[in-house]
Amino acid sequence: MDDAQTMCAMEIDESYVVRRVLANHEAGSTELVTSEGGELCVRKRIPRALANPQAWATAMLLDCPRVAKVVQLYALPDQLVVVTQYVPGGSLSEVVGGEGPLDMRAAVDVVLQVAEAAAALHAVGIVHRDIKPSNVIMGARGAVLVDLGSARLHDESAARDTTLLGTAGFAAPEQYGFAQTDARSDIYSIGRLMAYLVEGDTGARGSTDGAAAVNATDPLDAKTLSRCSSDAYAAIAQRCCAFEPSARYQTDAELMCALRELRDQIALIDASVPDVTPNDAVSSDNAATPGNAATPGNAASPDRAMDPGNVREYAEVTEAETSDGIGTPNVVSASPRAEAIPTSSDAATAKTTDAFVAKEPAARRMTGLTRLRLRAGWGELRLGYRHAAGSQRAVAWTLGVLGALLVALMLYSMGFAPKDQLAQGAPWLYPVAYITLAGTIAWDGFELVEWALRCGPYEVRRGRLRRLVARLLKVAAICLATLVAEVILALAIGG
Amino acid sequence: MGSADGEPAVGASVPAGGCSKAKDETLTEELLQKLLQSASPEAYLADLPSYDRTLADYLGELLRERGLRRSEVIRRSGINATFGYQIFQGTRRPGRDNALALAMALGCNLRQTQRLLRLAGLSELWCKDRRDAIVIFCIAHGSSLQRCDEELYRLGEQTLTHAE
Repeated sequence: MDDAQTMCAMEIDESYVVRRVLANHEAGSTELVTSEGGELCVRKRIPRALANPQAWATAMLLDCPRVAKVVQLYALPDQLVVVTQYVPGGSLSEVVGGEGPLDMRAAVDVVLQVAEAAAALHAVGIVHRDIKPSNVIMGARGAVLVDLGSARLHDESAARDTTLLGTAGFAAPEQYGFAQTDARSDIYSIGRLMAYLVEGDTGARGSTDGAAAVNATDPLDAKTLSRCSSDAYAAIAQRCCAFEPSARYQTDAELMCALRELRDQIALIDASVPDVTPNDAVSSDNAATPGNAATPGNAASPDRAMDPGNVREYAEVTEAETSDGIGTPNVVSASPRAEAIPTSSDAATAKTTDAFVAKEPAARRMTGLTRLRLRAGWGELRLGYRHAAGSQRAVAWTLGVLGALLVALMLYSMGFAPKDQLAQGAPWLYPVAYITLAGTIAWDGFELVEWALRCGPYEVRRGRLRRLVARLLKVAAICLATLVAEVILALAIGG
Repeated sequence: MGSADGEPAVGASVPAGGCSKAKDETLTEELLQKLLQSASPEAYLADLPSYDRTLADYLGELLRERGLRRSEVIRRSGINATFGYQIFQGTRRPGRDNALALAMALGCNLRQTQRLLRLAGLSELWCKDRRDAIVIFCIAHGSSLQRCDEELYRLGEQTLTHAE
């Protein structure tokens, strides 16, 4: 640095008036300053050794409302000084720490905004590397990502990061030095953020040692997932936090797409929940008649602009599914819990899904989930399937097809070959039976794989096991029914 | 203020040194008397308040006191910018001439200049030295650095600021 530059930089430095020192440690200091124009800014001093001028210079070019704008950047002989706009508002750590975990809807909105911010950064080649609750400020217009202190420009050629920066509990495994960090490391941090928002758990578990933190194999442990009031949310977060970067969402766009679907899903569920009572769902298939669901007036809360057309369509599809038998698997699993299901009057008077579900103790939340799944079973399955990793889907389909073949083989070996019976009586019975069985087994196979591969919490696992067992029993019941029908047919026709 | 070999303080005999630093800070002269009168070093040391000011801290204090800016002072003193910045940060130490230039740019009185020199680990101004005497005279009369250099040059001594 030559003298003229130093002098110039010093003059710029002195033109800011320090209002308050926010932090001061060996990795630099952060102050609240007023610029010459009277604008309130945050000035961060970063020692040369830790600074990344290219990343900051690139960040200066960004103009995204979701990322704190870099107002000025200048270098002094021993430090890099960055002045960013001040975003008034509390950080997420303050919000969640003070008011408790967010509800599903709010959490998804916040995560979407953070993903937008990350996408803007990744678009110019910057990897943030330090996405955590204290670096997300809830401003007037939503979440703003601040503090690019750990950011770097993604360098294709480097095998690993040379400076290890990040925060234990939110940093992706590769940030501990195993591999080069890239956009997917930020996606990992967003996944941890998702867990934090609904649980309030930093996940650091007091471990600052890289190896120990990484060895904690399950990033979203029992305590965290138990509070997730949606399996789909947990699925998205789990995928973000996969150890292997290639198993995570590869781009922010994918993640945002998943989140938007989930948000729409939640909106639809919330709109239709007040009309659903579990008894209706079990006994009749008219749980949400098009008329009921279509009136937005019955929708969960007044500020949700529900498109009546969409709701009606959704309700009709669901009704169609439940009436022809294929969509009923969830129905059976509702009955073991009949004693725990709240009354319909509660459902009608609750303003939102979450208010309704939150009234009950945590143990009953699974019940609420089941009831919601009655409405959204198909949608959730679709969502879950779409967001399962390729390997999981492959295993699920393999298991499903193998299972179907096995059952077919079993029936064939027991003497119920279709071609013998097709000539007589009801030729349509067998294809229908086989298809039902195959479909059910594939569905169960997927659940089984999901259960086995996803190390979920004990309660969820137990719930899954129960549902799985219920389904297997149902499969057995269908087999038995088919057998009985066959016997009757044989008796009636053959004599 | 006593120099290391115990000679009478230079600054004490100069009346135009301006007011002493802070009212609550005991004058060095008084402390010297106390030390000379105590029976053993421990007796004095036990009551000695700690003075762990560094040069950078002191410079910062002087800046704040006078409402000056670092860049202005460095420019006025003729020290090169990077070096000046590092002196204010505390990462490097100035040479004697630079320290004197800095003191004059800061508008220090004699007492403060001596303190600055001492904190920089340099020898204080000694009125028995010809050059130092000229500098003391200039400081006492509130001359600017430029004026001091003119006087030094006029009287055949090395100037404080060296042309690059």
